[in-house]
Amino acid sequence: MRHVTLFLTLYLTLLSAYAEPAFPVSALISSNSKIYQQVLDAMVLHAQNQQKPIKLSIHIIDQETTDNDTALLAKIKAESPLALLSLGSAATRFAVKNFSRTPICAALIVDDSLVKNVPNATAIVLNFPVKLQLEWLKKIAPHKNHLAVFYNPEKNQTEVQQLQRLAGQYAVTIHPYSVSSTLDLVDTLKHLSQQIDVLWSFPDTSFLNPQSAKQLLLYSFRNRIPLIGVSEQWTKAGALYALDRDYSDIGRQCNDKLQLLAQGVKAKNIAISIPEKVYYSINERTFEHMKIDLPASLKKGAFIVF
Amino acid sequence: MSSKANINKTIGQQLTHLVGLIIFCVVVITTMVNSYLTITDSYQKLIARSHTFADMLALSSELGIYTQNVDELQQLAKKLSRIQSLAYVRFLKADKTLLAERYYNNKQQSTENNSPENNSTELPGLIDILWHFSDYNTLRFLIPVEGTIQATEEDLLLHWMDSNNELIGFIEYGIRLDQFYAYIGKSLMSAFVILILSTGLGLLFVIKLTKRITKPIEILASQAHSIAEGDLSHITNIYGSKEITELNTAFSFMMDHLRSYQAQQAQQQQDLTRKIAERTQELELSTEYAFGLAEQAEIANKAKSQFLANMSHEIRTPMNAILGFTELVLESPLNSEQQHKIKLINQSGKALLSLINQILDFSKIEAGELQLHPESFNLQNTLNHLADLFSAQAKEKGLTFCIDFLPNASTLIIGAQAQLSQVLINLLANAFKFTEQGEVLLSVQLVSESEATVSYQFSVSDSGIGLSDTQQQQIFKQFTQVDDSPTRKFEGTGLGLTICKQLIELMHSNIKLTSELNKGACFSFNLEFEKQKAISNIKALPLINQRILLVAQNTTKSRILINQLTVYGAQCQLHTQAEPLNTLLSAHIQHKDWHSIIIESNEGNIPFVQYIVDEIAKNTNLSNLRCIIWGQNIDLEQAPNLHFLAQPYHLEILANTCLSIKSMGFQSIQPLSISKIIFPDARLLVVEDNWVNQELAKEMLLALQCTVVVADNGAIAVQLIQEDNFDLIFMDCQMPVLDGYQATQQLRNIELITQRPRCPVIALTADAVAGIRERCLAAGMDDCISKPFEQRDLIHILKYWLADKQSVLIQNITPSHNLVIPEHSTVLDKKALARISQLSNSPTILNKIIQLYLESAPQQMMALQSAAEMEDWDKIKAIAHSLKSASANLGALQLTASCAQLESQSADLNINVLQPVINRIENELNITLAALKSEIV
Repeated sequence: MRHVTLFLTLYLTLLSAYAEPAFPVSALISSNSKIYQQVLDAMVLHAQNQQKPIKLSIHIIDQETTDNDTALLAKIKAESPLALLSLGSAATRFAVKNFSRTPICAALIVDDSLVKNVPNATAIVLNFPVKLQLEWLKKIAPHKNHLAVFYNPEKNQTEVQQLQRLAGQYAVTIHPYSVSSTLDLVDTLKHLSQQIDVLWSFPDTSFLNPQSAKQLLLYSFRNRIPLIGVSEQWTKAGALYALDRDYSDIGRQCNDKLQLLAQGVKAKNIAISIPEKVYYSINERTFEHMKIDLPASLKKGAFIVF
Repeated sequence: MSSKANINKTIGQQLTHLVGLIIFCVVVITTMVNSYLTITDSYQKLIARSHTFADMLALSSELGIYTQNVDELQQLAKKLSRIQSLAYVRFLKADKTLLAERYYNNKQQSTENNSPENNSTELPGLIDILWHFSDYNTLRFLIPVEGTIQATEEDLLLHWMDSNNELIGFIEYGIRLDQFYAYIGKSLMSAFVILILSTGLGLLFVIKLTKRITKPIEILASQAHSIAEGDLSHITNIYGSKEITELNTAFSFMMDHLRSYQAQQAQQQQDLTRKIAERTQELELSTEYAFGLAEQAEIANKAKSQFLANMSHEIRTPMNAILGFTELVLESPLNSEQQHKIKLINQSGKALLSLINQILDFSKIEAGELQLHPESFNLQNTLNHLADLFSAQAKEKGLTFCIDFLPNASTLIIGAQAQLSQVLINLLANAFKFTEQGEVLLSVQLVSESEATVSYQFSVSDSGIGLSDTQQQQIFKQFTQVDDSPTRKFEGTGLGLTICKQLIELMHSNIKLTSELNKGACFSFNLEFEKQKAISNIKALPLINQRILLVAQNTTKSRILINQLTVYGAQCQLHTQAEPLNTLLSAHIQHKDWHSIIIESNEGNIPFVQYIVDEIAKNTNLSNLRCIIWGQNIDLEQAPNLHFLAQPYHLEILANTCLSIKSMGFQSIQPLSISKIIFPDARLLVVEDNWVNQELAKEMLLALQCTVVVADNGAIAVQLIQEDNFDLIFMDCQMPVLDGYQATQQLRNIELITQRPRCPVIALTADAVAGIRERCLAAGMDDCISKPFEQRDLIHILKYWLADKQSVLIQNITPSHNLVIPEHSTVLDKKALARISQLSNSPTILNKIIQLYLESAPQQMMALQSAAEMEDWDKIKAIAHSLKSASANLGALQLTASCAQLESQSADLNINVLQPVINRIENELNITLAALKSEIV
C-alpha cells in the first residue's frame, strides 16, 4: 500500500512536469457586449475541456481606438501572445494593421474581406452562404418567389451573381437593387417592382443603418411585403424571420483555430469558415400581418418566436 | 354681536345659513379642485399628446433629418397641416440649423415669443400659463431627434436594437392653446353652472330639511305660546325625528300636567274667589262694625273732649268761686272754728283743683296740645318759691328740706318756668309724701355754661321708702302708684310722675330715677336754658372777708350752707363740738374775731342754743359777734345781734342775714323790706255772668287798688264800653245774651269806628281744652287767663298790659315772714307743747303758760282791734309782734304766721290792707285758745 501511494505521487508529479503549458492569446474585442463575452467564455471553456488551456488577455478596441495606439500596442506586446483573437471588425482591422507575424484568428466579422489576403490571419465570418439563405426562404415562406435583394455592388456583386444562378433552382426570381446610400435605399424602396413579395438586404453599412433599417421595416409593414432579417434583432423589430448563429459554437470554432495555431499551423493554411450551427427566429405577429402560414413544426424549431 | 344678531333669527334660518354656507364652501372647493384637476389633466393630456405627436413626428422625420432631406421634411410638414392645433413645425439639424419649417393659419407672428432661438426645452407650468395666458398663445415643444450609432456591419447583425443613440436633430413645433383655453373656459363655466346648481339644490335641500327639522319645533313653540296665553286646548301631535317625537311626548306629558294643574288652579282660584268674597263680605261687615266703633269712639272722644271741656268749665268755674271766696272769707273776721272749717274747705278745694289740673295736664300732654311758652325768669325766685312752698310741710313732718344751689350760677334765664315749677313741685311733693324722716334735698347743679346758654342738673332726692326695681320700671306709667293695694297708705291720681316725665321730654330731656328700697329715691334731669342777654351774670361777693363760724352737725345742709357762704366770699368753719365759746374767745384773743356765728337749731338742742346765746350776750368780748339761729325758731330773750335764719332759706336772705346791720342793736327778728305791686290808677271792666266769679274777680282786683266796674254779659259790656273808657277788660267767654267773643268783636268795631285806642281784652275762661286760647285771640282778645285764677295771675296780666299804671308798695316784713303759713298744719304744734312740758318734766309749767296765754291773748286781741280802729300803726305792730311770739312758743303756727304778716304789713299804713289780717288773727286766735284749753292737763 505504501508503495502504491508513493507510486501515485510520483506519477502525478511527473504528469504535472510534463503537462502542456497554457497558450498565451491576446483577445482584441470591438465591444464588451454579451455576445462577445459569450464567444470568449465558450472558447476558454472548450480549451480547458481539451486540456489545452489558453492564457487569455483581453483588450477592447472600439471606434475611438486609434490604429497606432502605442500604449495599447506596448501592453499587448508585453504579454508576448502567441496568437491574437480579434472579435469584430474594428478589432480585426487593428490586429491586421499592427500585427503582421503573430497569427490572428478573427471572428464576429461580417465577411472575409478584412482577412482574405492577410497571411497571418484566419477567420470565422458571420455571413451565411446565399444558397443557405434560399433554402431557408423556401422552408419558411415557400410561396414567396420574387426576392428583392438590396446590395452594395462594390462588396456583394459576387453573392448577387451567385444568387441569380441559384434562383432557378429554388424557383425564385431575384430582383437585385444596387444601393449606394441610405437615401438611395429610401428612393429605391419607392420604386420597387410590384412583383416583389419578399425583401432581403445584405448587411452593408453603406446604405443600411438603424434609420434605413426602420424605413425598410416600415416599408415592409406598410406594404405587407415580408422582410428577411439578418439577425434575431431584426426579427424582433418586425422582420419575418432571420437566420442566426450559435455564438458559443463560434467560440468553440475560435478555440479550434487557436489550437491549430498553437500547434504551429500557419494561419494561411487554416481556412476561413462560417458558423457551423444555424438557428432561426420568427415573428409570429409578422406572419399574421403578412398573412403567411406558420407551420407548427417551423414554429417549434425556431430558436425564438416573437 | 353675532350672538345678538342670532337672537332675532330662528333656528331654521340659522341652520339654513350655516348649512348653506357649508354647502356653498364645499361645492366651491370641490368645484375649484375638480376644475383644477380637470384643467391639469387636460394640460397633462395636451402635453402627453404633444409628446406622442413628437415621438411620431420624430419617427416620421428621423430619416429625413438624418439624411437632411428637406423635401421629405417639407412634405411631412405639409401633411401635418391637418392637425388643427398645430401652430407651426420646424425641423432642425443637430446644431439647430434650420432644415425646414411650416406655419399654419398664417400665425407666424404668434410664435415670436417661442422662437427657435429659445433653447429651453422645459415646458411652462400650468399655473404660469393660466397666470400669463395672454403671453402664451402657443405651447412650444423642442424635441431632440436621436438616431442609432452604427459603426460596423456586424452591429447590424449583433445588436442593432441595442445600439447607442446619437442626436441627429430637433423637431420644434408649437401647439395652439386657444382650444385649451376654450376648454378651460368651458370647464370653468361648467364648474360655475355646477356650482350654482349644486348650491341651489343644496340650499333647497337644506331649506327643506331645515323646515322638516324646525317645523315641529315651530309647532311646539306655537303651542308653547298658546300655553303661555293659557290656551291648553289646541294641542296636536307632532311626528318627526326621534328627538322631536320624544320632545313631543315630553311636551304632551307636560301638557297633561299643565291641564291638571290648570284645573287645580282654576278650582283653587274658584275657592279663593269664593273665600275672598266671603272674606270681603266679612270685611265689609267688620269695616262697617269698625266704622261704627270708630264713630262710637269718635263720639266717645267727643264726649271725652266735651267732658273735659265741661269739667274745665263746669268744675273749674265753681272751684274758682269756692277757692276765691274761701280766701276772701278767711280774710274776714271769723271765729276759730269757722276759720278752721273754711280753711279745710279751701285746702280740699285746692287739692281737688290740683287733681283736676293734673288730669287736665295729662290729657293735654296726651293729646299733644300742651305747648311750652318759654319766658324770662329768675331761677332763684323759682327755688325761693319752692322753699316757701314746702318749708311748712317739711317742718310739719320733721324733715330737713335743703336746696343746694350755689349763688354764683346764672339765674336770669329763659325757659318754660311754669312747667319746670310744676315738675319740681310734683317731685318734691312726692318726696315729702313718701319720706317720714331724714331729709328732702333739691339740688340744682350747674352742668355747663356758655355765653348764650346754661345747663343745670335738677335732682330731687329723699331718704324715704324708696322704690324696688320693679316699682322703678312701673313708676312713670300713668295711673301707677307705688302702692296699688286697696289698703294703700299714699293717695293720688298716679299721674304726677307721668306728667313730670312727659313735661321733661317736652323740654327735650329725660328724667332719671335712682332708688333703693327703704333708702330713698333720687329723680334727676338736665335742662338747658337760654340766658337773658341783657342781664349781666357777674356775681358780687357780699360776704367777702366775713369770718363765720357754723356750729352744727356735719350734715348735708351744713355742707350746703358752708358752700354757699364760701361762694359769697365768707371764710366759714364748721364747729361740731358742743362748746364753741372757747373757739370764739381764742379768736378774739388772737385778734381774729369771728364776725358771725350760725348756730343750728332744732327740736333737740334748744336749751343748748339758748345757753350759747346767753353766754355770748354776757361776754363783752363777743359783743360784736353776730349770732344767727339757723333752723327752728326759738323765742329767746332779746340779745344783741341775734338773728334768725329759717331752713330752707332764700339765698339773698342768707346773705342779708349774715351782713345785717349789726348797728341796729338787738332785735328778735330782723325786718326786711319787700315790695308789693299795685295798680291804683287802673280802671278795669270785669264782664262775668256768674255773680260769684264776678264778685271774686272784683275783690281780687280791689285788693290791687284797681277801680273795677262789673258787667253781667257782653251786651252790657258793649254798652259800658261805648259810654266809658277802661284801661283793661276781663271778659268771660261764655255768657248769655252776648258772649265774650262777640262782645270783643263789637268792641273792636267800636274802636275802629271811634278811632279809640285799643283796649286790652283778657279772656276769662274755664275751658282748659286745646285751642281755646287761639279762639280767643282770633276773636280779637289779647290774652287769656284760666279759671280758677289767683291774685298773682291777675298781677301777672296787669304787669304786662298795664305796666304804666303799675306802682310799688314797699312793705316791711320780719324774717319770720319766710315762714309760709302751713296749709295743712293743725292749729297747735304738739311738739312745741311737748318741749315746754319737758322743761320741768311736769305739766305745771305748760298749764301755767297756757293759762297766761289764755288770759293775755284775748286782751292783746282787743288792743289790736282798738289800735286798728285808731289806725295806730305802731301799736298794731307791737301787739302783733308780742302775740306772735307768745303764739309761737305755744306752737300756734298759723296764728304766729298771721301775726308776723300783720307785723310786717303794719308799715303799709293802710287799714284796708291790715284789717283782713287782723280779722284772720282774731279767728285763728279763737281757734288757738280753744285748742289750748283742751291742752290744759
